Amino acid sequence: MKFRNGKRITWQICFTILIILFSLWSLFPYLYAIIFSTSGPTLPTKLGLPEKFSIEAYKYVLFEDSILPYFKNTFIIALLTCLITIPVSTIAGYGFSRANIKGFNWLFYALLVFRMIPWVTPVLPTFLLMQKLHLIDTHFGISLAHSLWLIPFAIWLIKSYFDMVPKEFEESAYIDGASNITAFFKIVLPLAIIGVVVSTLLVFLFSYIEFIYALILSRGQATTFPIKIASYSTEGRMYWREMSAAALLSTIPMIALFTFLQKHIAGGLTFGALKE
Amino acid sequence: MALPGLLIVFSLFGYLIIDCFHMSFNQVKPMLHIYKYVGLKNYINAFKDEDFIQAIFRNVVYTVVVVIFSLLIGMIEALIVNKKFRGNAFIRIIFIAPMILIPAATGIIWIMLYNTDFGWINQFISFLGGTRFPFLGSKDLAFWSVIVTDIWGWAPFMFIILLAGLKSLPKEPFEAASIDGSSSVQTFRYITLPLLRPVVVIAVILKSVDTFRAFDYMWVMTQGGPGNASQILSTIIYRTGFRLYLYGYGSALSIIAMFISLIISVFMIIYYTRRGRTE
Repeated sequence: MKFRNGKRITWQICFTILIILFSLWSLFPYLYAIIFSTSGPTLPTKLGLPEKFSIEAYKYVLFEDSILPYFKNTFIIALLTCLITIPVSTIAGYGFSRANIKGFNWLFYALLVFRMIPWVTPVLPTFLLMQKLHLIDTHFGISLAHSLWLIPFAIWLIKSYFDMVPKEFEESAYIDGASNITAFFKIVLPLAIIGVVVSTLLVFLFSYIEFIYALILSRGQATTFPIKIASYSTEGRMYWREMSAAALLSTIPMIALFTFLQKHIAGGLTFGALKE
Repeated sequence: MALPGLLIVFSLFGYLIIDCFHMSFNQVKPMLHIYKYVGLKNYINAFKDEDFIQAIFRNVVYTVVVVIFSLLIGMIEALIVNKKFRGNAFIRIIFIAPMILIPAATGIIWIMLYNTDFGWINQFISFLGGTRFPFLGSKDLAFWSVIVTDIWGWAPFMFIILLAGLKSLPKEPFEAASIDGSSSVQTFRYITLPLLRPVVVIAVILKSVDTFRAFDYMWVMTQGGPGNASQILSTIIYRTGFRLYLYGYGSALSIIAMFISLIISVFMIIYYTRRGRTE
């Protein structure tokens, strides 16, 4: 593009301002939480930096009010959810990608419908079912509920990756005398492994941040981190600084994951979406 | 392994939804295992329930406003990052940042932002000379305040999808346009937008479906209050079932909510597939 010099400079200035504005919009709650959680005992009531700097709130959250067990619960539940969801979805996704049976496609669309049911609809029956199974307040119970919602999503995503692997690859393997199972594990799966990794991460993430089911299915022993954070806002006394410290700490694992795998996750999300 | 897995998923979903149906025709005290058949009474009550009807409308408004604004913000952000400049990768992470925060944590941080004493939003208003305003405690503004939070939290989702869409567009039309000397606005209006349409439609469908069942922000920030002023579908269902312990009535509400969202998503999918065919 050719601009006259003056026009070009104005354009660049406008563009920079635009970037700054949108970055500020994305970041100001983070900045606020950082400043707020590290301010001294007197909270600033006017715009500007606080007078004192202290990390008391972080010490309190980590060691006195101990959020670590909740972290542990969340991690166990998210891992269990992945362990249940991913094997089933990988094989089912492969099945949907390759099967040529009539009616099978309808099952696939039925899975899409599961994604559209409001999560809150089966909350009451799930609660009663888990009560019957004595799974209330257990890690397994919560991850079972999460898996139920995440399996359709994961199948959907993984299938689109298997679709990318040409069928000829397996066919030539069959000719060489490989069985179905060997062809899958030795040839197809390695080619679609990124899809499986991306799905695992997203399933982990969604289980990590899930709120309703973790809320109704836990009583304290298996309470997850999002519930703990939310409980800060309903308890009688407001621990403002501690709340923001806990909220910020909760983001660290996710920031690490997303920064490392940003590109793949973005690709995976869109991929699943566009392939619908 | 897959087939039994699928079978379990389908039968569990089937069981849960049928159980929900079953409960919706009864007055239920599940702890005592008492089911009293009341026919359509729960449904009739639901349609007479002013709060519930309002929650439906509020839910629609919520979805429409959140989707439109996150589409706008996501689109501008995607167009910015799609240009070449130094620090591009860094800016991309900044734009994704809101999505990484646990929704409950986002809700809490925004509660504090709206706080009359410590919140930046009120401090900014008073800095400009206005009077401080209790956003989340106000009947008129609590609902809209949560909408702003939702837009902040999920605009990155639109951004990611639209950016990937922009990156996958063919190069030739843009080269032709630049040779013909069309302005950037013209290029966007007549080339980028039509080419990007399928991606935009998919992004809007996915986002609408997800927003329609929004719960976290509203529950953490207002619990549907003050009064019932910011009640949306999932919060009113949750409150009916788990605060008022009206399981039967709550099930009827959630069956209605399920049908509304199914009808809307089926229409959107039909619209999408038909578009795909005619173009």
